[in-house]
Amino acid sequence: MMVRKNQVILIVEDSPVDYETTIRALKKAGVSNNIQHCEDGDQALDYLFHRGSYNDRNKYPLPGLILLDLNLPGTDGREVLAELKGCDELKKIPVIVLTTSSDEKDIEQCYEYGANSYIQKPVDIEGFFTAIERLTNYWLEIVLLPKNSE
Amino acid sequence: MLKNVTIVSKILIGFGILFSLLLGVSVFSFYGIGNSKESFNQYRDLAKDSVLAGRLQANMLLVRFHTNRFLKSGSAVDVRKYKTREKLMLQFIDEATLMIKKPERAEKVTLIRELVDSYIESFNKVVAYKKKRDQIIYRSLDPNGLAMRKAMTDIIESAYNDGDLTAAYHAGRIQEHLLLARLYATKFLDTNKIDTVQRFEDEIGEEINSTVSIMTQELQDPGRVALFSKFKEKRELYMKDLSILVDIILDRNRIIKEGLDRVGPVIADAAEKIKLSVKTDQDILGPKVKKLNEEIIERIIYICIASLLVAVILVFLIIRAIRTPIKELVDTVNEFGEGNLDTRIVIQSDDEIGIISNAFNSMADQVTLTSSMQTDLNWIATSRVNFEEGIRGIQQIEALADTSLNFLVTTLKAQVGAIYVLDNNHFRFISGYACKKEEIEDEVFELGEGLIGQVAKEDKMICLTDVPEDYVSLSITSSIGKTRPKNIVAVPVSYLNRVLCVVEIAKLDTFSEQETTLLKQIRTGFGIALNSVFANIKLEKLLQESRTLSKQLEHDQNILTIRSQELDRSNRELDEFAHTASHDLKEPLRGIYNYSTFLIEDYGDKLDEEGRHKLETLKSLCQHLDELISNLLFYSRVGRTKSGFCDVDINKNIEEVIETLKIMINEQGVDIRIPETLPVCFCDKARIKDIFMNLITNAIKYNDKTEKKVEIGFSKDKIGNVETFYVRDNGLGIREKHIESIFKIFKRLHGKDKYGGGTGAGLAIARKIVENHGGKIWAESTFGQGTTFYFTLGRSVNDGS
Repeated sequence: MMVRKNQVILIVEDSPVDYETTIRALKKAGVSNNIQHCEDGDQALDYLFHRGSYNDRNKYPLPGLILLDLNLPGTDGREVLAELKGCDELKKIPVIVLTTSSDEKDIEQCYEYGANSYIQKPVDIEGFFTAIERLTNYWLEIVLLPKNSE
Repeated sequence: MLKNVTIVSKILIGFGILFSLLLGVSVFSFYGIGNSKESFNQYRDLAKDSVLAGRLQANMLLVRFHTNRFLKSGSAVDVRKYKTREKLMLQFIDEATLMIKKPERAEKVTLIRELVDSYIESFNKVVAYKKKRDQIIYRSLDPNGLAMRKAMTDIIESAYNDGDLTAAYHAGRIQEHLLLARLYATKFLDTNKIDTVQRFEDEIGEEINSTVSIMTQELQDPGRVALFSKFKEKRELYMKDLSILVDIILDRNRIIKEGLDRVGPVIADAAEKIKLSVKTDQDILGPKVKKLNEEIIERIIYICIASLLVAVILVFLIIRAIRTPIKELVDTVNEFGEGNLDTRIVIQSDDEIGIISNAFNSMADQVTLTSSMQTDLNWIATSRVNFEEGIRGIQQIEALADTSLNFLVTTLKAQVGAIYVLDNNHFRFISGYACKKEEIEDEVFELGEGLIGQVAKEDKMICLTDVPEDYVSLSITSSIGKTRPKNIVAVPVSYLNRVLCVVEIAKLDTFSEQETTLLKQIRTGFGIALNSVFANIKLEKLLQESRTLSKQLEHDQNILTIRSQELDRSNRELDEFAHTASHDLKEPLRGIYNYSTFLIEDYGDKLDEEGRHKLETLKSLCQHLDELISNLLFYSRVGRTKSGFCDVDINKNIEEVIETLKIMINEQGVDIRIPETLPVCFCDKARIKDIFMNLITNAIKYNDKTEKKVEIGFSKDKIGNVETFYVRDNGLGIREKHIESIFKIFKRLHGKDKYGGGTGAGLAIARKIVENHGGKIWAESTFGQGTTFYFTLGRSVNDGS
């Protein structure tokens, strides 16, 4: 089994509150991986394709897991997801979608775009904590992924 | 000669004569055949006599045949057969006695009867003798013969045993003769020859008499003496019996010879004589009858030929009498038919043909008369048809008037004409022939004004002759000057009793009757044509108006479509706004909540109890607001999306809802019933599930009963189309005044924390979903007893459209 503790987790989230909440949740879950933060879709795509200020591969390695907010300023989370999943190098990176919507149709749409998991951002923070804990645990420790996704 | 006799009478006379002839032939034939019949009966009687005689003869032959057979066999069977014939013979004789009347033949019959009687007597005697003979033979002759032989044999044996050879020798000789004697006796019985009787007597008498005398003297032995005495006694008896027998047989033979063999042929001869007598009579009668018949037939043939000749002549005469005048009649009619209307029949007789000829002549006169009238009528009809052909299809009023007037003036050989057409209750000049508008005195006539107005008012043609010089109307203008016409006709043309125009025509000479008739007749066709043109003009006008209105309508429709599209867009924008707004509202709310949580987590130990409580309250308020926003978001979504319609099995849909609510249902022990299988509906699966989820949850939530019941079902309308689904509970019920307001968003009937709380958005969302499907939702309730929610989807089962 691969140990993924050294892998980067990329969080794409525009809301500082939600970012902080997510960080808290990850910490509570005992995730100690290096975390990278992008505040909008364009930034996230630059990071993933090593463009602009993110051209240093060593400094900004490809993440082992992406936490993606759907509602982003500028390039929307859905677009990011679509582009990501259209690229051979990146499409194997697991993506956990974070969204406020609980609508079944939104959820369906997310999976259609290629999201691997889905977490609703509820007002009730405890549930969120639990979900983050379980999902990161799952994706970082249990699932065996192809080598080139490192 | 027969000229004045009718055809019927001629035919009757002919038939009368023919009938008389036929009757004469019939009567003659009848008498002739009557005579012939009488002769035939006589001949038949003769034949009968002959037959009877023949039968007597034949039967007698059979009687004799059976007699002979009896004589030979002597058996009882032949006697019986003979008796049958004998009986038949007597019957035939009786019959003959009765039938055969002619004296000479009757005499013979009587003779036959006598002879037959004697024959029968003889036969009976023979039979009796035969019986007697047999008796003598079997009772006396045979036993005595045997006894003699036995006695002699015993003597021989005894003598031989005693050694008395003399006695044995004598006895032997006697025995020898005795046997010969018996042999001859038997031979006699067989042949009936008298010389054999002599030989018998010799053998039994003379030949042994000496030996008998010797033995009578010499025999010593008493036994032998006794036997010899017995022998002598039997010899006497034997001889006596044979003598009787001889007498009987001779007598019998005599009877046969004289009584039977002689009488038989005599009877046959008598019968033959009868037949001969009959034949003689027949030979006389036969040719006589034949000649008579031939004569009768000959006469009948002559009479028939004569009658036939008379009939042929008669028929020829009658045909000639009828045919000649008819031929004349036919010839004349044919000639008339070929066009010679002047031909007539010369009447020669007073009979039916005379009458027909007369009638034909009258008819021919009539035809000649009407023929000339027909020419006039043809002119009128042709002119009328031409007129109607000429004006057909003309759609302009002026063109119609010009064409009509032109036609009428030329056809009537008039000089001038004008037409005035109805125009707003007066008649206006519209067309003139050989006259211009300017030349007309009055261009417009009111009803009843002037000739034109009068004609129009009365709807009746007016014909003026010898018009006075000062009459102001049409004038005939030519290069040489102006003339007033002498005759004027004004014709009203109407349609359905409404005068549409007046035609005025003038000419120098008078209008003939056929001309005025033509004018009267064209009125109908002209009226229809005019009306059609008027109607056309009116229709054109209406069509124009309709087109204008139609354009206006199209314009309005376009505006309406645009408005509708604008309204749709505005609604959509509103929904999208609500969607976005609620998303955006949620983010800071989450921030407040999350930071409250962080505060408690990070600084909880630094706050007192009250501070922590307030932070907790803040959190719960956030949660409630979040719920409200979520519902608002959802509410807006329902209107925003319209995809996801498909055929949905409502049963499965509800199963899923119940599965989701399983814990709640089990905890509260809810009895959920679905009485019948629910249909398949074309609808949005997820949204319909939302409705059932909401209604079933409500039914369980707002229920204070210990046994909670929920029933889900549907009903169809009368044509079996739209279903009304319902969800019924036995819960709290809703007061009448709230029955409408419960469908408003965030409307609640109970306290915030009562009955599990809630935002009060569920029914509003349900209503929006239902309305989105084109249906409606409503509730019926009895407070305290329960509520039933009904909803329709506005689509029928499985219609898929």
